[in-house]
Amino acid sequence: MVVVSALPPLAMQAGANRVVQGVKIEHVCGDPALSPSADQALRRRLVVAALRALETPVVEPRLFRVSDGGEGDA
Amino acid sequence: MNLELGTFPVETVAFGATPGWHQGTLSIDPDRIRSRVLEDPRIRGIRIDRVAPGERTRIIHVRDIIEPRVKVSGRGHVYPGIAGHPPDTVGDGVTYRTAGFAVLLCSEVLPHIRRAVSAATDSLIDMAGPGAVTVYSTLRYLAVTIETDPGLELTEWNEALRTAGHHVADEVAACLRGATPPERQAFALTPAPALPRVVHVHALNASMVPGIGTGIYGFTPHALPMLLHPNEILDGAIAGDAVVGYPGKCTWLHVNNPVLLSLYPRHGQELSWVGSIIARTRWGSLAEKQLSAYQTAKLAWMLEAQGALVTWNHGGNDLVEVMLTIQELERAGIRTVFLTIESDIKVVRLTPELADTGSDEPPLLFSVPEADAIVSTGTLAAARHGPRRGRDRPRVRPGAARHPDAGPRPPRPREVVRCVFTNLWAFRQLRPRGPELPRVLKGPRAHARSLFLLPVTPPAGRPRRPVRAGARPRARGGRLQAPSGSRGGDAGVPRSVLQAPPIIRRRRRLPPAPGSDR
Repeated sequence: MVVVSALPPLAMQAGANRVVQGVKIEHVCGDPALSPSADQALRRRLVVAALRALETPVVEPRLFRVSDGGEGDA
Repeated sequence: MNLELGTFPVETVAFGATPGWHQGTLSIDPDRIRSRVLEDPRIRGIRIDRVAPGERTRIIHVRDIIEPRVKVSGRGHVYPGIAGHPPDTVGDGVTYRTAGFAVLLCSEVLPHIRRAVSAATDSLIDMAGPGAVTVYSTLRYLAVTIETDPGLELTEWNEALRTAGHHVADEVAACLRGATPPERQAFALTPAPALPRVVHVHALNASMVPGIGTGIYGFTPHALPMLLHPNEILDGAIAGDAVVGYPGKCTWLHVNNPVLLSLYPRHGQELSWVGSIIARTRWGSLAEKQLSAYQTAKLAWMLEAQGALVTWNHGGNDLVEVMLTIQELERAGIRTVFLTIESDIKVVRLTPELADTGSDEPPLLFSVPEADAIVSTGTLAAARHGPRRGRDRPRVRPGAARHPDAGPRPPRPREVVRCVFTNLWAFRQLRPRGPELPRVLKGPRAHARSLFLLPVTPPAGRPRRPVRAGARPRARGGRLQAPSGSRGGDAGVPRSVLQAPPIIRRRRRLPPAPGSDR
């Protein structure tokens, strides 16, 4: 399982084992302040990061950032 | 910064043409207040009631509670930066206030406002019965119920209501100007070099909805922490809005903040209080929360604080930055105590059963290892056995296993009284239970109605005894109409002050707890 969360420490304290750093509480998986194309790119990177997290074996709660992998860096 | 507060205790509120205070009696001219409020074209109607503690009265649609205060000398205006008051720095000079009396602002949240702010919840105040457990049940009120122009948008609506409330409070406070206060108290942070330096970190919600929320000198947006002199707070530098009827946000509570009033007598005796850092909470991103924590700790370090008292006025995700702040303060070598309620208001179910079992009660949402000195002020579950005494409140460490040598488990708090906010005084948001659940309503107003914490029609078989002749329940809609004999602007304004309310009753009687005083 993977959780995309605006507040990873909270998710990890609750026991989520793969946590991807989201954007903000109000908009976890995107940023309306960006242009539509930049927002789409950000959302894509988040989803890719989440999928990469999902295929990574973990033994304890671990934080994945968008910049950890995926297509290009955030 | 030297502030002297002149206090006028109010034991009786009278209506009369000559406003003033005389030996505990506060005279108010309702016509003058009515005309002052109705000067604002955004206000359609006003109704004025007097409410006293112990009356069988329930007050609904509470928007704010404002203690009348007036500056008789010194710079600025009390409650600066809002309601047309100038934003000059306050906290110096002489301020007069009423004690045990406040202006209570009531207005119904219209559906479009509720759609704009999901948190525009309503609170109620019971003045008698089992619901009368908070400090708000102990005050006398001039209850002002306002009907606004239904077309007002959120910020305008908030502004109109808040201005009306402060205009009423200003009118009442103005009559204290010529009188001599029976009590005077001086507040100053005279340097106390030999004593440990302590900072109060006052974590204060900001609204995620722009243009509303608790403000500092009227400034409501999220901002990095700032330093306030406690006298500024006593002069009303922090004031609530009219949107969220949440008890920890009432303006009354900020000027009567029990933390300030507890720290002041200790200043120069046990500690050297270096001021209050206001750290706004409810940032949307983790990076912002972390930055706020870093900057709060930096300010405390620059003040050469050795100890910190962290309080918060509650919330959900707000606890993340509060805990991060505690972490940073400890890392900066500042010994930190956190004063808090035990559970998360957004999570806890307000049932006595949960509070009694203890283990099932959702604890604080988040914690850090550095938060190792936490003082509990109770839980949010419903009162059952009467007020707890402060010294009985156990110290807790959320999430920590109990040490085997810790001795007998302290008694669980069974209720919340005097707690939320800076967590010494709570306001129970009563939820109807059992036969008194709100009826399911249909139609466009159903959603708004169903969110009110009030049975919309009196439960069958429970007679309602209107105290005031002429008040009669409407057949549908659940509101009491104004008494037929009412005059002036009162006509047509729905009542927020319900006499002989459907007091929430316990469904079964439980034996008193061992050691309880009831």
